[in-house]
Amino acid sequence: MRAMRQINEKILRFIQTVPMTEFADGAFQQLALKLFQHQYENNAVYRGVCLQQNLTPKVITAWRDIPAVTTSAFKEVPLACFPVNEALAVFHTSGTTQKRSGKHYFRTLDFYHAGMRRSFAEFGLAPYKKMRLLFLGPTAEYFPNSSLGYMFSGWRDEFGDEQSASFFSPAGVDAAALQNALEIAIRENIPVFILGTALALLECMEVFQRQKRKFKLLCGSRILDTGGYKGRRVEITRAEFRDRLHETFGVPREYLLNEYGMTELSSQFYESRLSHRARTKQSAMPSALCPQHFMPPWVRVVAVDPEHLKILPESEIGLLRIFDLANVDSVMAIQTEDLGRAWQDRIELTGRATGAELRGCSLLTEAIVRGA
Amino acid sequence: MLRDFFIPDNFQKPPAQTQQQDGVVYEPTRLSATWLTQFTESFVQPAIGFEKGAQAWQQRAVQAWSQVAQEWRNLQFPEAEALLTALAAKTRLSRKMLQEALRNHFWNMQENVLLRWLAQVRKDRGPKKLPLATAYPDFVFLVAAGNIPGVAIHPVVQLSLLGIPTLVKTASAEPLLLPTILSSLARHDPQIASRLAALTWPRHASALTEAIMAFNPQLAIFGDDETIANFEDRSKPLVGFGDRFSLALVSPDADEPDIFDNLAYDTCMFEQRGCMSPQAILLLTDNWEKVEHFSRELANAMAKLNAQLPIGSRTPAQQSSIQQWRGAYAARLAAGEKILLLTSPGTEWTIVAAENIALEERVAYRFARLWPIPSIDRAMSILRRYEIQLQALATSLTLDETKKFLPQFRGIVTPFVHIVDTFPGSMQKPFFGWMDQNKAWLRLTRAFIEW
Repeated sequence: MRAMRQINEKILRFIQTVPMTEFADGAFQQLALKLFQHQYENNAVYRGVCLQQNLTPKVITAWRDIPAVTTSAFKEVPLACFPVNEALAVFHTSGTTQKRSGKHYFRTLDFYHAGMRRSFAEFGLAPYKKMRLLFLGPTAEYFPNSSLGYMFSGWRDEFGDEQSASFFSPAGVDAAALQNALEIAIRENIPVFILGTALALLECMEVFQRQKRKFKLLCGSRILDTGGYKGRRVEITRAEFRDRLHETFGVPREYLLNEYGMTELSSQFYESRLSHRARTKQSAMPSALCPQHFMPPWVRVVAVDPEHLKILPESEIGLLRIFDLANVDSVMAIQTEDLGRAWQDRIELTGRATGAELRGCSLLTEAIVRGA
Repeated sequence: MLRDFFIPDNFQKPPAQTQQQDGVVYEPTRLSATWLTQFTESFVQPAIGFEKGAQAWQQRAVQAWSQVAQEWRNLQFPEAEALLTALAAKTRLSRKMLQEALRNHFWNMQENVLLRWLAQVRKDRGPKKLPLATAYPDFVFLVAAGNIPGVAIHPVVQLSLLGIPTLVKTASAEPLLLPTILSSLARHDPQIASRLAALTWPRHASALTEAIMAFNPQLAIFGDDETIANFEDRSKPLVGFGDRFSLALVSPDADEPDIFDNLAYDTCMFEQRGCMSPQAILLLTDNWEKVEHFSRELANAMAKLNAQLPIGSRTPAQQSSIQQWRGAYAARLAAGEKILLLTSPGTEWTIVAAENIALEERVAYRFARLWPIPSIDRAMSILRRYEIQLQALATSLTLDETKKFLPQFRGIVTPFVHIVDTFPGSMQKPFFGWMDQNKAWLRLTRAFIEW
């Protein structure tokens, strides 16, 4: 118990204080190995997965070698270092008719909160202490089991001004109310920060397009989308999506931001050209065609070869395996189904496996061949 | 030269340009709504069916198709080499797998089989037309899925035997196979081929689809449920082959020496991407040792077959799916469930035996799931639960088990005639009339208003 408290305190302090540009192995490695030991001892299912591969804390000496569980495992079994009936929060992955929803149990949200708070403040997401945050995505009031909802609500409470609001509920998006809020902000000369899922943003933009309505948001305004527009009947490319955001809201392209995250993690990645500039002090930006997402320094990523799950050299394309120290009470090492390249401090997403391709005779051919 | 279209000789061809891709010269078309409308106007005509002169048509059609089938079974058609190369590149299936696929599509398309099928159709319609019988449609628009190459072959042959003008929209991922088959047919009998056409265009080119829909065709859709739903509001009743899967029900005590090779074959053919591919093997036993033995024997058969029918090339996304499925079962095993997980060193094949299998979650790419079930009654409850989605069931049981199972199975099959009743090793070699298990298809080929 005491050891657990110690490791928790150290990790929380690390998340709160580590410089955002600090990606040397030293402190991270130490904490990762301790956390692995803790999870191996206290998470019986995870221990079982490790033993299947004969990987125990005795033989693991580097964070890269810590065994990972697949995201699919969260759909099958509880992966927690504590009795799940003691969970303070349970975040659910989105399920489909084919895929069941997964559950991520949290004994405490301190780590999650500390991470999202620092990311917001230090990834260059918002330039002001308080900003007008307008949400087109889940918030905790309506969606208590959504990790995104928790994050949005947390940001609103901490960084939003009094007029910050959500325009998304189980009934859908409220484009009329958003329009009203945008017009007020323009009238009052207040920059806004629109945050939402790509799908909700698209829905709104389609309403505005039908009404032939465009906005010129104040300088300093920005938009963050969390992805998730794939699977629509009419798909659009990322570049088209960004063009539409720019044209509809009048926000410069470099202030169009993207978040990459998943319920199985407690930390997120940001495709923020602003943070890239701040970090590297270079004027060159990553190409819009190959957007790069930056990670906080309490996270590491490797790409693994999809055939044998062996770790690939830096910058080779493979399946991303993420090591998130903020996943204290579940599993730190997560094997995703996302394809990309990984560097010390960032990733480049190149694709994602889709379960939709597996539907017997109904299989969408295009999905199989291209989908891949 | 390969083409991604087949337009009979007596019609004006669409504009096309020779290209080279994947080492193969071929001629893709550039379609316009105007050309499609002009073509369809002259293509639509009364079906032959069983009207006057039908017998001569049917004899010629049977002969032509059986000759085509013989050529294709033996890969003795001029474009064979180029087609296999192109298909391997487009589908990522190995050449050996593709050769086997072509043999399977045509394996029982002999003259006597086609004649027998026509006789059955005539019998179903009655000696004189039954009151509910009606004229055959003058135009069928068949949308073919591309999950496995050649999924539309049998339906097209049946429509051809009935002389129904049929335009096939092939999947843009695999547009070459059907036009090449129709070219073979045209070489044998251009008149029989004159009532068939194959074209391809992307799903989002709705102007082209609408040009066809303006002729109010009878629709036959092989696709996902969403594709079928998109067409469902149209005027005529739709024939839909949507989201379906298959199962095997096997007793470890059945006297079938080739059972492991047969199940491995059914699982591996078409990389388990078809609706006739087994999503699970229900293993009739409550003895876990038997389950383990069966799993290991099946693993040996899968490894052996991997050499005979190689996988071709898998995409990273396909490999990722396999790793995620394996990871899910590994976690369940770690959580204490009784599970056996056997895998190849890479992602070539996987065998899972588990006491609970979620059939809602589909697998593919040589991922065999063994589901031990203690009794026929339990098997029946699983079959009843999934009967609406079940395309085929392959059985291999002891005599006593068969006696108990068959009456119960027929009980559910009769009202839901779409389940194909077959045997391990035959799931990927469907007999010629397999679509007759689909009520809507039966209505189309028998030309009944109602059933």
